[in-house]
Amino acid sequence: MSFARAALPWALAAALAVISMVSLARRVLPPPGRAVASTRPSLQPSPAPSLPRARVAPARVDLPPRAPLPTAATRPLERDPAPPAMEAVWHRIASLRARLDALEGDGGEIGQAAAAALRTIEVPRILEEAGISDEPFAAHLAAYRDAVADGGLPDALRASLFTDDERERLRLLDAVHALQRSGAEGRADAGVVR
Amino acid sequence: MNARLFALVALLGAATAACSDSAGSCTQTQGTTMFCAEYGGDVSSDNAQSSCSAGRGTYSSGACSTTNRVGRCATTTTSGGTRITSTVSLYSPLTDAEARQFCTLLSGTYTSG
Repeated sequence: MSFARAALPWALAAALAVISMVSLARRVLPPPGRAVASTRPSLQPSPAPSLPRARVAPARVDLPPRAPLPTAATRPLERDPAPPAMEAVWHRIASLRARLDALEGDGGEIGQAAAAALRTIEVPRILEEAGISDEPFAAHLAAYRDAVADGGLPDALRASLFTDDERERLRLLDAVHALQRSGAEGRADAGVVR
Repeated sequence: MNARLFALVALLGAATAACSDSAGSCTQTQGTTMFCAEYGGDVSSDNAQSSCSAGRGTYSSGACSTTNRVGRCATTTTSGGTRITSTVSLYSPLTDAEARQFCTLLSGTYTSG
């Protein structure tokens, strides 16, 4: 009798646990024969079985093949976007070129002298603004000119010679050197570094 | 005593050089027109010197000479958002009128003498 009294609470607790587990399993697990994804009640009425149902192909998104990331070897040189600071420098070079052309087009000696003075004043300022010093790049520029001589090099090989930043500075320095040559000579020499 | 005086003079000279923000000057001759440009603003002496040489000029770390000077032309430009003034000295045989014309072409402000 004492054993039955002692075991009764344990039996009741075990029964309650079994009932709770069964109830929980009914909520969580789908009933037999139904897919897991359809456990949510559908708000749409099911179509009438007598009507033929048009088959709609599932929407399919065809993504274009991913293009390879541009590398130094594949990136086209002409499309390299210039940093904003360099764009300002290029604008300054173009502006100075226009002023020099106007002064030298005057034809007189005073105009030529004024153009020379303008070069003397402006060119070092442009170099400072571009953050480059003339001397360290002179050797680079000479090597670059040699490399692109005789018809030039393939773009991929040319791109591998210098980084984007170095090429941009070399182009800029080349344009500055062209500014330092007067008149048509300077304009003809501009743009050797591409 | 002499050593102390020498040290004081050297110190003053160094302080003067440190305070000066000029990158020197460049004297050039175009035909009969002789001018000297003083670099204003923050221009390194290396870039000033190389650009002066490219224009077949003579670079000096000091200011332009005042001998035979006809007038001066102050030109102002904007670099990196900062207005910088450079002064160009003009020398005879250029006349005052020619020097003034020179300065007008540079859109500068001319001062005789």
